[in-house]
Amino acid sequence: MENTEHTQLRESLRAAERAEAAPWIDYPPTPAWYPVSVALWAAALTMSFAIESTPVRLVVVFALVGLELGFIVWYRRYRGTMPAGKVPPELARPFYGFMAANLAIAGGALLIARTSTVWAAAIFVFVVVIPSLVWYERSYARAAARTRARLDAA
Amino acid sequence: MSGTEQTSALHGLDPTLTAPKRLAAMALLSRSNSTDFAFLREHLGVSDSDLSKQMSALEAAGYVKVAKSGRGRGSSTTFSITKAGRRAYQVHRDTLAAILAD
Repeated sequence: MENTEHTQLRESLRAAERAEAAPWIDYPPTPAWYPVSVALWAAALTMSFAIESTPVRLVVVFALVGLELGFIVWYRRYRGTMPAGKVPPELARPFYGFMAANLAIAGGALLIARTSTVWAAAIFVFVVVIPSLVWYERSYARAAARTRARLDAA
Repeated sequence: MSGTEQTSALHGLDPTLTAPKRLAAMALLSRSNSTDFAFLREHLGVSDSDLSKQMSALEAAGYVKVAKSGRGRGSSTTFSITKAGRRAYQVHRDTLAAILAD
């Protein structure tokens, strides 16, 4: 009797562990236009720093931030959920790697803008963001598959 | 009756969360800002009416918040976990793990 109860509790805990990971690992395919769109957006944000008029620059930056927020709202609906909280261990490498890549790209763009021109920095951002996102998407998908395999096999 | 008062003396498990579907729904919501009705239904593998029933029980316990927008075909229902729900889920999960570790 106790064994049956323990088996049921164990199954409940396994189902809970799988459900905890679901918002992170169950997601629809990322649209093909996503990497190029993000690269264009990041390049446009970089270019905005070349605008000399502060009010105009602020309007452009707010418009770009608004566009990003609109994308987040759309993506949450498309995905059906928005993950939050503890990241499954398999996803930590691509997730934090992507954060580090973003910082490195921003640092590189700043360096180029200071030593060359904002145009050159924008081109650098556009060119580097695309492979960075493609790497992130593929790396994330592989890690999500490993997480699914671990939790479904448990 | 609050979530704490509901906590079962037996094993220290919360009776609201002993139903596997409700526990799985709480687990999913504990790792998201908000989640659609359809995503929950597909993950839990339940019918619309069953999910509505389970989520109503969680809402009545004060563990989830429900947000509805639009009407007709374009309407959507989303769920998010409350502070009390997060606390209750964590206590229940920790208790479950402790029982199984014995």
